[in-house]
Amino acid sequence: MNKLIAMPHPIKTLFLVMAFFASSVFSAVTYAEDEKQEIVVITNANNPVEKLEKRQIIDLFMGKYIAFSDGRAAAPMDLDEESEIKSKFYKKLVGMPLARVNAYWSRIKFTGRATPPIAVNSIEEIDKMLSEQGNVVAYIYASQVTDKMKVVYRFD
Amino acid sequence: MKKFMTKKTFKCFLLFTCYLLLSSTAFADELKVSGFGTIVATISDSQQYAFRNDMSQNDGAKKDEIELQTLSNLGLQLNYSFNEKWDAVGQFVYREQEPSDLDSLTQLAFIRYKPTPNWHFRVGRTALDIFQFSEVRDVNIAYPWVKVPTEVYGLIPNRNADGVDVSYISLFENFTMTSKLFYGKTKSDFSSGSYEPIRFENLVGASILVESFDWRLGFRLSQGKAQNNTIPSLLVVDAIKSAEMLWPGASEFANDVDITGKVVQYASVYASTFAGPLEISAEMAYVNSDSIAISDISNGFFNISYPFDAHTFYFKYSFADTDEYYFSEPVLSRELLAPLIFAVEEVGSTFSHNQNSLSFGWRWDFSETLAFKLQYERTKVDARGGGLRLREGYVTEGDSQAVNTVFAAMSFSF
Repeated sequence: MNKLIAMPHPIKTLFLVMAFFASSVFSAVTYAEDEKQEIVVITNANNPVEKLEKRQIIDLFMGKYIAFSDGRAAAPMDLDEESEIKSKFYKKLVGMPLARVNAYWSRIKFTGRATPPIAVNSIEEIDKMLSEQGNVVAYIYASQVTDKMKVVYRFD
Repeated sequence: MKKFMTKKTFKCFLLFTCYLLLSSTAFADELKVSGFGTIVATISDSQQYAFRNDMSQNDGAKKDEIELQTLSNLGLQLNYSFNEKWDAVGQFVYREQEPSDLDSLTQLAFIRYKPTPNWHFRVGRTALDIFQFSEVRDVNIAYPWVKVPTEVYGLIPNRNADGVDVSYISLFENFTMTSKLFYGKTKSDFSSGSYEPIRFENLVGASILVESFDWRLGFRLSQGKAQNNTIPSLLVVDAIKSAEMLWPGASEFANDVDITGKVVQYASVYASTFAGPLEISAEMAYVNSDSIAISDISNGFFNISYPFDAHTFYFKYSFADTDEYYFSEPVLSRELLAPLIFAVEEVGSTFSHNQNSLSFGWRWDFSETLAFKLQYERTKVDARGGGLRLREGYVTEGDSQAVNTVFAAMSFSF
């Protein structure tokens, strides 16, 4: 940093412009990488449900109606509050940051109306729950889908 | 600045210890432990009309005092799932309540049966659902404000009902509709100096909540039959009955003042929607009864919130409007009955709330489960209409006054 301060003025300006340009390109590449990480909603491959509407996913993950359209109870699963995908998922689903999702859930949970989705820490845990329960619904990156899973919704 | 009493600190510690123990038991898979809490500092500039959260509170934020108890609370909730169709919920909330025993701490204690995802049956203690935010009034992190509007929620301190309810969820193309019926009993304290609960039985109510994700409509109707008077009302009723010689028809009037056996009705309409970046919500409510002691009250609020990333800015207007009560019965001598007339007017004015508040506030969610809130509120209290505030002196002697109150809150959930 001291060397930068000591540089002649035109060279310093050029250096700063290049650094800004480089960081912009890096940000754009990173952003593009993130965008490639498509989020999908999955269930057990043996679940008769083939497709869910966005409205149904909102109902499931926001505690309004926690069942499939045929009346079978569903078991939505959430990822740990620190995970990046959770934040992206709710932003795409309801356009809210996690703090507002939590405020919303506080209204539902602390009146005893419904319990929030089961929270797990990793994709492995979702995989395990999926093997045990046919009614699990979860969100993961498209690249993480396995043979045991069935994609029932893709975000545009 | 007031300090939390040792006994109160101990109760908070006890709730937290229960949380630690329960969350580490072998039942952890079926038992979910969660909770919420808030610490609020309140400063008001009026000695005559101190701030209190609802009519049950005997203490409040007075002039030149940083008050910490009126709105602060701590809640612990246990959810136990027996299987897909049966579960149980217990919730214990510690706040400034009187008495502070197990019955008072227990906000929820019910068993639920869900034969299908559409039908929910609950038996036990559930949150009283008479206005839109009645069920979550103590869950501070659940709403943008530092407190629910006092003009709507402060006049009914009742938090829960013991009984049964049934809900049915109907699915439509673009919205869901939840219909609910409940039956039970409830009680709450309305006095300002001691614990004198009024019990309501045959509490029956119905609600319909129609909602999509970005809009919501709620309709509620309920009523309950009062089982007893407060001690001041009882004394006044007895005094009126004994004044028959100077007051023809006193017994009949005493019956109008007496709330025992009287039905109190509550109605509420709520709506909220998003308009671009703004969230707009409003509630109109109405309370009426056959007794002079519980006046017919129109109240409501209007709110605009602007959520921006982790911040929410809001503006809120709330009001309670009642006809002032003045004694107008034909008596033989007003002079001789002056003390009694004064007492009747006091009883008739205790629930005659006339005030409105303008509030501005900011909520900052600096994590998913932690929020800071700051709210300024200017309340205009009309003469004889200050029953919602903690007063010095009688309601009927209260002047018209504008009161400024500032709240700073830290809310959390776990």
